Amino acid sequence: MSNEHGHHAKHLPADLSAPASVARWRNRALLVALVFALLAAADFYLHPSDLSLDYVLRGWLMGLIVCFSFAVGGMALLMVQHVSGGKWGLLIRRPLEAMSRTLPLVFLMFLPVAICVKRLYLWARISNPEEALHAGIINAIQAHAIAYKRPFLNIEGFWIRGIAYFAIWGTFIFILNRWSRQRDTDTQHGNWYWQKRFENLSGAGLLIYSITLTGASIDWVMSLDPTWYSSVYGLLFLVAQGYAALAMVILITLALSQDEPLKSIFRTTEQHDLGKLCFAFVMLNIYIAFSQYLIIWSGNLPEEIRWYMDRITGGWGYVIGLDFAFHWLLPFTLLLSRDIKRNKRRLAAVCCIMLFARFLDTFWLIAPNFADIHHNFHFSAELLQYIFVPAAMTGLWVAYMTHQLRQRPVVAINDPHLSEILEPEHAHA
Amino acid sequence: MPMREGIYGLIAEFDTPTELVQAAKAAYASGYRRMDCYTPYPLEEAAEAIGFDEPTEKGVARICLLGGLIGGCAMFSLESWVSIWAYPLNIAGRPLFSWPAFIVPAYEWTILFAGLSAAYGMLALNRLPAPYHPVFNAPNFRDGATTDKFFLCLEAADPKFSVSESRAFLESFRPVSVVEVDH
Amino acid sequence: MATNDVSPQDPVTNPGKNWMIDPKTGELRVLAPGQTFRSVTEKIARIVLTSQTPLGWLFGFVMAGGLIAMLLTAVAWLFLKGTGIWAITMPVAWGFAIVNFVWWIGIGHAGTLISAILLLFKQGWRNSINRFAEAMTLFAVVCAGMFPIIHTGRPWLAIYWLFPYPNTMNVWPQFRSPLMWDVFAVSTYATISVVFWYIGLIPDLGTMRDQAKSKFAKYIYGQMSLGWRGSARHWMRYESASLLLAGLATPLVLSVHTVISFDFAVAVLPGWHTTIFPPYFVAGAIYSGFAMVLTLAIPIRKFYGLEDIITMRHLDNMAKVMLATGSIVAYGYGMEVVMAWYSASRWEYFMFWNRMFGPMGWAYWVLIACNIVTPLTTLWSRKLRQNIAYLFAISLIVNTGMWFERFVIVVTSLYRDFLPSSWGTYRATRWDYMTYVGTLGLFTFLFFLFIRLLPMIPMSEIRMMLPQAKVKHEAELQTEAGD
Repeated sequence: MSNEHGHHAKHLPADLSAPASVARWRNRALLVALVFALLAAADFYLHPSDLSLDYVLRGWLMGLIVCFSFAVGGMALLMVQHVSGGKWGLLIRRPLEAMSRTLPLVFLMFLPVAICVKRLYLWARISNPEEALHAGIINAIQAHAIAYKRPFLNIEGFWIRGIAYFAIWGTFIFILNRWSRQRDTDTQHGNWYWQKRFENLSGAGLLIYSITLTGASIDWVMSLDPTWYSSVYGLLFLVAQGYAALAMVILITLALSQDEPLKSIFRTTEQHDLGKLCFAFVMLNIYIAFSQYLIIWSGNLPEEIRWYMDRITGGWGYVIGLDFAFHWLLPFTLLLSRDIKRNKRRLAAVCCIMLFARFLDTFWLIAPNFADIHHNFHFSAELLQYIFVPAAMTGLWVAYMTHQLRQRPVVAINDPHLSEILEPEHAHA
Repeated sequence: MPMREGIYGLIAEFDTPTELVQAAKAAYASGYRRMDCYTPYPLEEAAEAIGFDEPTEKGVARICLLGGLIGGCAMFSLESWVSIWAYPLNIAGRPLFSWPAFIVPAYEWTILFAGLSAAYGMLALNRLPAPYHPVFNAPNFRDGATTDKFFLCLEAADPKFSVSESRAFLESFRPVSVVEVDH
Repeated sequence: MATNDVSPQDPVTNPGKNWMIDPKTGELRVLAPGQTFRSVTEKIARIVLTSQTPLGWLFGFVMAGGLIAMLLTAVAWLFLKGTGIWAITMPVAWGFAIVNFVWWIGIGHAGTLISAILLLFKQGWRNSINRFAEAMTLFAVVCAGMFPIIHTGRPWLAIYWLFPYPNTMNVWPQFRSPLMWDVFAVSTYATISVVFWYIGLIPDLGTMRDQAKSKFAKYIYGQMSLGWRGSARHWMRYESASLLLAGLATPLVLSVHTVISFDFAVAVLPGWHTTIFPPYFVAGAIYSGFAMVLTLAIPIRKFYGLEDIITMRHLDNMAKVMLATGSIVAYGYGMEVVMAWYSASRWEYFMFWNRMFGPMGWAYWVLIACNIVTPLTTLWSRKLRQNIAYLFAISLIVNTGMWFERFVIVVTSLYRDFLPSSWGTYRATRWDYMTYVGTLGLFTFLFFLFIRLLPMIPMSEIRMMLPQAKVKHEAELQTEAGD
């Protein structure tokens, strides 16, 4: 509301490159990554057990899923803002592009998972379900599911599909970023020409993204329990990814808006819109999660309900309770308030809550798939790897993202919305 | 309630929203408080000019929130009471207190009560329905206020109001007309 | 609001070919340029206030009335004979009634979406179409609500198990059943839709009161307008109530079709019990609803000459929404097939095989052709999206497809269940068809009444979109004076 009485259009600052503070964040993020990597290493060497390596890998998978959400979710939001064409989209476009350009790092993070697929995934470990059933390693349902799904759940398929997904996302990210750079300097075509181009690419891109993401979510997370299935899983995963990426990009944008050039063009109106968008994602996420639960709870079919029993009973109730509070209850109650959505500090706090919820939820999705802990949540030194490894990976990711953020001006120009954003805002818009 | 004697106020007619807002701002600045703008579509600037601020006032929002909470709690309690005590039934082995199922109607009633509260709350705060109001007595009001004209009414109940001075004040903004409004 | 879409500097009369294209953006305009507050008001109000009823209107009204007579016959016979006159029997115990119920209520959802979600997203283009889209919602809910009521056979006896009230039998409803949730979802939906619609009408009813010439009309509209006088304070509270109602209607509309999907998904029947149902039902509902808005808007704007207010931009945007929601529906169909295999359950697998290639497989392919193949391959083209005849055809095709979707879900999941000895088939009777076609008549009848009696486009919101509606600030005034 600072511009209430200033009715003069603002001017774009001459220097649009990222502020110097971004370099400081990179250093801090690297420090965090280093500390947690050391902690993870210490945990691994000081408490050796049969499962030490497994827990590092599980933590790694969790870190992969979180960083993957930021990178590919960033790409998806980038497409959404091109298609929907809201003014808020212009403000978060460059941060989203920077997030999407971290895909190579995420691909590197994917490689250990693909290499150690046999250690992580039951269906990959069991080469002969019949024998494993007789040996008592797996039960009859698992044996049937693994044998039946073999045409889909096999190691070659896992690799081929994984690389194909990354190739597809990489292509879209490459084109989107390349065009965005060309658009900045383009004087020939009107900005409307670019708008249409981006719209067409993003429309098709979102469709392909939904399909590939569904595939990836089944491959990487859902198949950890080879018996379970839920047809809304991909969509739930997609919404959760948007939820994480949105919280992250708002945090980045709020941080950038402390300094020029964003400082002078960041308006409360657009911040309010972003807050509303957060609210929409908070609602959408609980909506799909609750309907999935209600349908499976009501049906109470043995092949489905066990998945929930594994992660609700035996101490897991506390985890899901916290998950519920951080995923929905807290952000929902806070975002109802108009003042919180319009206050930078408070909105940033809500985004932190949302990010924490994504970590917790990813943990809740991954950890109870493994026989040593499902149905029976208990503390062990190895369990800390679920904190150390993802934290180190996220720190590294943030450092790489800030590196990407510095590569380009943080404001995209040659956009029809730019002049509107520079207009003074109405006090109560 | 305004007095029944004398006139209700003076009403000035403008052709554009800009003129209306300028006049209203000036009237507020020179100390008038009992006044109102009448526009054919919502005009936030007009409300601000006369010192009314709905986002700050939040009257409707509060009523709506309260209604929603009451509706949701009422339905959830009713469902629990019916299913646990009044008429317990074993349905496919589900627990008597089947909260996941109860959430759905409770959710619907939250929205029902919140929506009705917002609508009725708005009408009540606006003192509507009000089939009679003095401004309708102004001969030029009815053809313009709901179509294409913008009105500013300074009410006689305002301590600063005086027929001659207020008329001169309004006329300084070059309105289409300034008319006395009878009760 | 989208005031930027209309530029005030444009020449008032420009009969050129591209006058509906904004030179600033190259995009189609939301409103034709050169309109005044009074011209839009008169244009919209005249449709209602004229004493001359168009012949075309009378013709349609009488035709729809005839269909209502057929509906009344079918329902009277139903009440006399019982639901045995319909084709429902074992194993297909749910037939046309539920199919039509879901179809109609889905159509209604676009109205709420246009008025609520697009309001929240500040999509100014919605203003021209929201009033009649909401009216469409109401009438669709009326038609939808009829089916669950009449399918009880003796509706006057059904009240005690539908509504929780203390009765002499001490019997209470069973809240763990999704059919019970339906009662609350649909009744809330109907109530909130009426309230939202009426609140939206109040300022326009004030205009109608002031524009009307006949004493009777002045009196009726005056009463209905609740004495609206356009006070700035009233407007602010009114706006905040509208936004709140929009904020409530959005999750409501999602929940209504979600609850309807629970009617199926909470059961354990293959083909019904699947977790994708809630979002995919909602998307399907919006898809068919937007198709219905197009079906209504295209003839109306032509008949009443409203091309300046319901512009190509509106039709284009609605086609885009259909493209998006249709894609979600396609995703839903895809996931159903994928999970039928991935579940490793032979029942799921057989159900899908039967749905596609069984004796009633044709219905599945009709739905794929109407809902997926035809619209989703062609609506990508900007040219086709702006071809009015094509859009009209597509809207009818999608509505057919969405009817078949519900038919396929209901019937093909039921007619061949776990026990081959209990397999059967389903063939609708003439009473089924008469009731269905009769509700189409009821819907049309109510819609014709609405067009004749109430302003079908929200005048106050159109005024707000005109360029002259904006208050100019001092700086702008100074530059103007300097020019």
